[in-house]
Amino acid sequence: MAYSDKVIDHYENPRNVGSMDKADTHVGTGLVGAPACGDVMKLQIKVNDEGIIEDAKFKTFGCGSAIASSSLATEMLKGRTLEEATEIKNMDIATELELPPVKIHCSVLAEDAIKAAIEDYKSKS
Amino acid sequence: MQKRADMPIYLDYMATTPCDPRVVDEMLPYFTEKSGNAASRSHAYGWESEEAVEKARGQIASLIGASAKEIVFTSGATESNNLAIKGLASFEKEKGKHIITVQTEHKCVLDTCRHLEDEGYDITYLPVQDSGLIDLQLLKDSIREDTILVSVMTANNEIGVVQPISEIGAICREKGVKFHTDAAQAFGKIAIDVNDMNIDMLSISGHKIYAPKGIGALYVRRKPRVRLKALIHGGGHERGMRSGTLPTALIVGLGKAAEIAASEMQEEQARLLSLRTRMYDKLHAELDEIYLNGDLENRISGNLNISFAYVEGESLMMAVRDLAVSSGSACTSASLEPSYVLRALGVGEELAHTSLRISIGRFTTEEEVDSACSTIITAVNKLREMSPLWEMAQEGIDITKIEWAGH
Amino acid sequence: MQPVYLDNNATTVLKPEVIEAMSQALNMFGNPSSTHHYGRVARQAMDEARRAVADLVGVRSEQVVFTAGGTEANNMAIYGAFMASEARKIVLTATEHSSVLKQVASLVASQGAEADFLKLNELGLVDLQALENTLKEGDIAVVTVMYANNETGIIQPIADIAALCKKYAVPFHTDAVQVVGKQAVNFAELGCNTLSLSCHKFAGPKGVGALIVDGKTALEPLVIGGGQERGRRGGTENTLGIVGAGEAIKQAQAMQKDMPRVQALRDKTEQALKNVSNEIIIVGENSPRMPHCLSVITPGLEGELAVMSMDMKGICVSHGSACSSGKIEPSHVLKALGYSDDLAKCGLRIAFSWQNTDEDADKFIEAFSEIYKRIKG
Repeated sequence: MAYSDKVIDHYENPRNVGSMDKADTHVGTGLVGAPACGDVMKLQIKVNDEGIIEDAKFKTFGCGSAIASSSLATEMLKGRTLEEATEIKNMDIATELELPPVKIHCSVLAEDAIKAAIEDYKSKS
Repeated sequence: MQKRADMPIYLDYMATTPCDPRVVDEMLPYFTEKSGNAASRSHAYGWESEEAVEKARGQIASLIGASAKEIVFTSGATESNNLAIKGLASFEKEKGKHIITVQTEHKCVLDTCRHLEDEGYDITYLPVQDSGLIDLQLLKDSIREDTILVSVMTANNEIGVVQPISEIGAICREKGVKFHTDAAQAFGKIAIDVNDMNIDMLSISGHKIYAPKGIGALYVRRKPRVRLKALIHGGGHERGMRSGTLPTALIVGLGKAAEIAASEMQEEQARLLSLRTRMYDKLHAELDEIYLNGDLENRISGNLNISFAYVEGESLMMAVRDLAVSSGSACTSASLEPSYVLRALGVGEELAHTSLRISIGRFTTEEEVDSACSTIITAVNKLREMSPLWEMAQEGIDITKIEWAGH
Repeated sequence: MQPVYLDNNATTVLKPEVIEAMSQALNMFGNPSSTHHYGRVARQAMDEARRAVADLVGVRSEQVVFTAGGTEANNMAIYGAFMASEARKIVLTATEHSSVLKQVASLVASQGAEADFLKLNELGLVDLQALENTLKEGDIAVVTVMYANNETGIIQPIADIAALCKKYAVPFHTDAVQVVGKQAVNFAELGCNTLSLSCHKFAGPKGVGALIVDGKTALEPLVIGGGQERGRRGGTENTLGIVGAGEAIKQAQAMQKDMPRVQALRDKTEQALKNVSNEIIIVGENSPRMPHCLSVITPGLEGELAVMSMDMKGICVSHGSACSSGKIEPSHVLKALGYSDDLAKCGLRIAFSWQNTDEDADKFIEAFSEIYKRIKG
């Protein structure tokens, strides 16, 4: 499989790997995918009182494109408002990473993870 | 094989092997001054080729206790398997239309059997146990009045597991059913005697034993005679079983490779076994939750197939790209499907996704094994650090109990 | 002393450049289906060779299916088209190569096929009117006609045959094993649906051939499994041979340029044989013929004997095709051209190549004259 340089960069040097406290009311956690499908993404956002995402972390079980997609997603999330965050679409990620057609689902999963994390955060407040 | 520091370490000897330099030396003259058509029986160039072909036939036969006349040259094990199964099925269709094979056979055997199903044959695909071995009692019980053929591979191409060929042969002989074995991964690596083992047909591949690609053979028993309908018809080469101009140079290469295997097999396999053990022990010592797929005892010495829990296969492949290894078999590794062989073993889909097939061979060194181990250990640790599943497992969460949404 | 090799329709000597290319490729041993470095390198080399084959016959790379040789390619085309079709008839000529005849015979014996042999005219060519009549009858799975015959070099009107088949929407296969590499062939211009070629007939290695497909005609695979060649032909590809084939194609242009010289050798030899005796028959003398082929019938001089006697004089020629030269049977090709069994046993096939010199032709003429005089007293 030929990966783009950008995918390889995110894969080699993933940004924002890690975990935050799920119980924290400022933290929203999204867990999407399934081990049987070969991808599981955990994406967490920390939202400050102004409603701005001040931190994002991920852990991903999946192929290089899935890791790169979630790594890029955390970068894109930081500094956005929740509203702005919902505007991140999978094609933004796919285009930026030059994902081949068979890997577009990785960016879809990343979009799902963002939505799930926001939903989780909102459900807490 | 030239070694270069900037090249990945080759650990994919079950996908293919480099030509042995001794094989190359033997072949080269047949590309140049000895390049006649072996079927040209009336002039000197043709004779020289025919003689070389016959010598190779003998070298191959003697490695499996057969006679030279029982060896039919083909373009490779895939064609051999096609010829054996379709050829026998077609010839014996009046006798019966039931064939028994195994779920973990090579794709070309399974695809051929599926084709025969379309043609009205009835195929039993035997399951395997967790070890990858078939249940002999189940085989016995599956043989029917109308069974014409049992096809069970000697050594599996993904997990290296060696089936109890002697016992299968004995069962088939007793029941009067023909027995074919795909020995592409076993020929030249373990001792095979077609008479002791009651094998009626045996498929051979050149490029798995340090000979070139594009050449293989099928052993076809003469006493009691096994009759096949040809797949490729024409000039009547190979006793009418396989037509087409014989690629003399490639055949000479396969013959030489068989000769080398005959004289070095024991020593070589012992060396490979010790390298493999070294590798397995190192990985085990450094990494938790790794699982060997398939039986350890009944296994080709050069093979390991290991699942690394909580990391994903493709990212693992990417992390170990300094190693030339494969996930699943080479033929299907471009697809994202988990290996059907591992699934047949009962390996869960998660673990099937994270397996590596590591196969070592003639030119593998201890340094390469050590270096490969450290690459794998580093990669697995890094990916687990990044894996939400590993994190959950460490927290004591049973991931099989989670309701995954899927997508 | 090296024998004079004039059996170039059986096989040809590898060009040194081909040997060199294959020697270089020995280090490139990966399985082209493997996704790692070694596999990719092998695939790349194979793709290049595939492109060379494609360019040679004017098709796209995807239309090239590598096989173990011309025999397999012919088998695959005919078996594949027949099995994929509901129709029962296979239309062919009696002068086809044994790989075609035997595959058809097998389909007749085991699959209920019906073989319909086309009438040949006095030049040995397919009678187009007869073909059209046959096509009108329908129920035809495939028509197969070889481009140039391996014994006589007679060239069939392939484009005309293809056009007729197209008119009646019947798949048309041509066995171009004796033509590709020796003269320009354009798949689309010919208009056939499948075409087979063999690399060892034009200075490439044995064990490699190809079936060119149009991508539209339904074909059942002959060798199944593994998914190689887009599922059309299973089995790990013969990368070494394929690299050699690619190089042979590069050399083919030079060999084609050399053809007028080779033809001059043939023409000179032909004239000399006619001078030996006016009873010697030049087969296909007035037919379109490959410029390097010479097929003669010497009444009273059995081919088998002639070939052996020539061999003792250090000259390699053949009677009939190499595939069947172990058996003493009248040539099926000569019989199909209307020669009696007795005459059909007296054929001799001489095929020149880039490698042959004026001296080779002279040696052949001298040896043949001597043998002729001895036999005929």
